[in-house]
Amino acid sequence: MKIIYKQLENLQEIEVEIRYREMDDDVRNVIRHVEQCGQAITGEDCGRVYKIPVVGIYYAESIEKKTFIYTKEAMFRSELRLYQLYGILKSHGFIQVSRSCIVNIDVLESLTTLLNSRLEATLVNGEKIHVSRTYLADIKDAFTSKEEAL
Amino acid sequence: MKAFIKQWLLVFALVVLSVFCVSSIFTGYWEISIFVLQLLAATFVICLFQQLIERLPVKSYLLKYLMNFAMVLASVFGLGRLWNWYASGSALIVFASVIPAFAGAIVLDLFWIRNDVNFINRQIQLRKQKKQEENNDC
Repeated sequence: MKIIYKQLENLQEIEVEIRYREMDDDVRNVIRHVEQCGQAITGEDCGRVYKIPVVGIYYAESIEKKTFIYTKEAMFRSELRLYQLYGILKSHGFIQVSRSCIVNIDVLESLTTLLNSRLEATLVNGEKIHVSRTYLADIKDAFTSKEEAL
Repeated sequence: MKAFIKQWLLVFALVVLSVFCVSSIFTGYWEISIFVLQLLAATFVICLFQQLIERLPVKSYLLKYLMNFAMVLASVFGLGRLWNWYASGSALIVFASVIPAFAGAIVLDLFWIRNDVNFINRQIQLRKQKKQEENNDC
């Protein structure tokens, strides 16, 4: 893949042109990644509303019917319910790992079986989250389909 | 592998059911076939309760295993009493036959979970390698 950078002083916003011979999984993957860069979800922190880029979201969880979005270092409150958020983020590589948590597949570092038969996922920032066995098959499927797409 | 074992056991169950039922139709001897159908019904009840237990908000898997075990025992004893399974034998036989079946199911369950976890970890490593290669190319 060849990447061409061009600086144009009078451009209003970033433009990305993807040239390809035929539309295959590689091209779709590039398009998906580029589209992800531009998308954002709003979240609230200390009364201020922020635009959180989808690629920067590590995971989201629901605690007592409140939804929280976690990035590498920050946490935001979302007005959306977890299932609504999952509906938006599903196509951006997010997977449900328990009834109350969805994770960005790209930030998964490893999965571990604990001695008490519980499952735990470690994220790239070292954070650990609980994984429900009920969703294990779905996680496996997500990786299988991602592998096919890559 | 998991799908293969499931398929194999499903076919086995269908073969057992059809062999016993068809032979009963021809011979007129239904006792064993009725017992096989009772086992089928008992399995259905156990699976149904298992689904209900799975939906309970219990976080400890050990507690879930114990609840499942108690449920299997209660179902087998209850249905066994209903269908007179213990008329000629001791209830201890039922208890002794439930334990290995349950232990086998737990071992298989843990084996499959470990397998799935290993598969997912391999995929994570593969994706990391691919990303690294892509970054190096750029």
